[in-house]
Amino acid sequence: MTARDRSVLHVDLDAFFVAVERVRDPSLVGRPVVVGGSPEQRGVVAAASYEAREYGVHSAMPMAQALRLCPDLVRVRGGHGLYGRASRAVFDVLGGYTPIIEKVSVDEAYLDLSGTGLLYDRAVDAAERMRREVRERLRLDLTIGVSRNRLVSKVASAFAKPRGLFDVRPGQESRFLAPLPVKVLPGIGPVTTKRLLDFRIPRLGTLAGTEGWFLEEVFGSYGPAMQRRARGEDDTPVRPPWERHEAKTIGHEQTFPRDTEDHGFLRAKLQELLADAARRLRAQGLLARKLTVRLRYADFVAETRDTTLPVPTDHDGELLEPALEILHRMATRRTLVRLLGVRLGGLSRGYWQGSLLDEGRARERQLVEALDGIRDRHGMGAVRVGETVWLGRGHVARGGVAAASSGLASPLPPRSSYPPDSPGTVTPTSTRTGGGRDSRPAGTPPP
Amino acid sequence: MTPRLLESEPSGKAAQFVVHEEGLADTFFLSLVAPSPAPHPPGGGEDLRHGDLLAISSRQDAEPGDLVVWWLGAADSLALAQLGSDLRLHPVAGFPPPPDGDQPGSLPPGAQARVRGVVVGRLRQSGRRAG
Repeated sequence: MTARDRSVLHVDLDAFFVAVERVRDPSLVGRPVVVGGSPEQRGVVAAASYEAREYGVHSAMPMAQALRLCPDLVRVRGGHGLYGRASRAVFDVLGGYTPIIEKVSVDEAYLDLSGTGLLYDRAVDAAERMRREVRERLRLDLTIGVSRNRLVSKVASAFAKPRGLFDVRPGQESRFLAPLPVKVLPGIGPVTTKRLLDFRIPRLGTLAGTEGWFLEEVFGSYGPAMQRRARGEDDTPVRPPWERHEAKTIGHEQTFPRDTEDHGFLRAKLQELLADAARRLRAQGLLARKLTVRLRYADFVAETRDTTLPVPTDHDGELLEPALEILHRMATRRTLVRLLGVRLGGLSRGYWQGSLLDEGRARERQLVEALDGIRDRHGMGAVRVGETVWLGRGHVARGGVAAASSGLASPLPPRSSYPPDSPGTVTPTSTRTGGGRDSRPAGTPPP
Repeated sequence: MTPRLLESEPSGKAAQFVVHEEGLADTFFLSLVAPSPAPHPPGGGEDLRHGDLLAISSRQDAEPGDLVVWWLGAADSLALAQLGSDLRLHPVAGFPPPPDGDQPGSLPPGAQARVRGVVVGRLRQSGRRAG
């Protein structure tokens, strides 16, 4: 199979979190909707509907600012367990077309359909069927870019949004990219864009036609590589899970709604963050050898410490003790803590294996796996162990942290009906995860 | 009834493709209007269909094998053809062949069949229909 015969799709779910919320509550359709945290708790926008984007609302924007821009904004707290289930349902459909899928995120993937001509005739036919099938079965919209390589398909899908399919004809990759601004090319960031503009290279067509020696002089070896990409050349393979390089680290961190000096709260939070990171390790069949804890204080001074574990592990219990020890050694400043994070590194493939003769540990392992199943289904807050139980009981930390109202201790989310049973099924709003919809105008105090 | 190509503006981000410099658009879009039922499959061997928005690059020369749009200078004469290795335009998808300029009377006075641009891709947007 040569590069000329490849068919690569870039598949992107349109405004995914919002779309899933709209499946659950059709009254949200057509309204400006965001998924994200409460403005009173320094929440940010995780996803915005296209209607909200028209007001200038975008992801990562502080929720308070989003509400100022769009007073009619409907805020939904969201439930990642639900999004995970919806994502798996979509990928189950996509997996029926090709096993060579590289999942980039919960709502984005590359599919290699090379060599499937006898099944689907053209890749664009398969793409059309995928869009139709996902729409009919799950009521979610896909945008798809189709071309001979990942790079061009990615750009094509970006310009096909929303609910579009952009099929770039084989051999036309360079012409397709030529009129576009240089900043749209993956890998060209703001700094490189500025330098290119300084040299009057505003478009990819200009970059593709610039003398190679000049680009090499200015950008080093990245210059010619960038130029090849501007011409639409890319031979990066689509890597299915069994071929993918493993993540270098897995981590979680959290900025608290209010700064705290409560060590009990910090310990509980550390345990919760570790449990989530360890769950991700197990899901990917990885073991960690290195553990890092990070603190940021209210004065923005950050401190990071790490330790190497005696044996690689994916077990919460074996990670917790050294993590607590690090935390104990770190949190010595008499300053409120703003952020806590954990990171697991030194990753290798494998599964935790206790002694075959140690029945207790084997049972512990079964328990951990059972907990993973429940948390995958209902979210991390569904089951709490150890000190994290505090977080579930609305523990108010010294220093003013209101854990229960911060979303740290969300109530047990109800079992959601995803994927939908049948088109048109209306799930009552009262079943939404966390019941977090907030349509109050900006500036209205909480009830 | 033969298919037609209508000038069209894509919605959403695709509109950013239509870049005007020196009064000319680098890339523009034409929507394919095919009669139903079509006397020929709308796309022939090209898998084109009614409602497709064709992205056309107008700045670079066509090469043999390219799917091109040719015209006689007026918007209602836009048509698709394939540039053959003999450097002649071969009709596709039910569009008429370009008139032979060597035949007296086959073209209106002053008219000349020429390539308007090369088809680089096709966009399908849900809920959008041609014409």
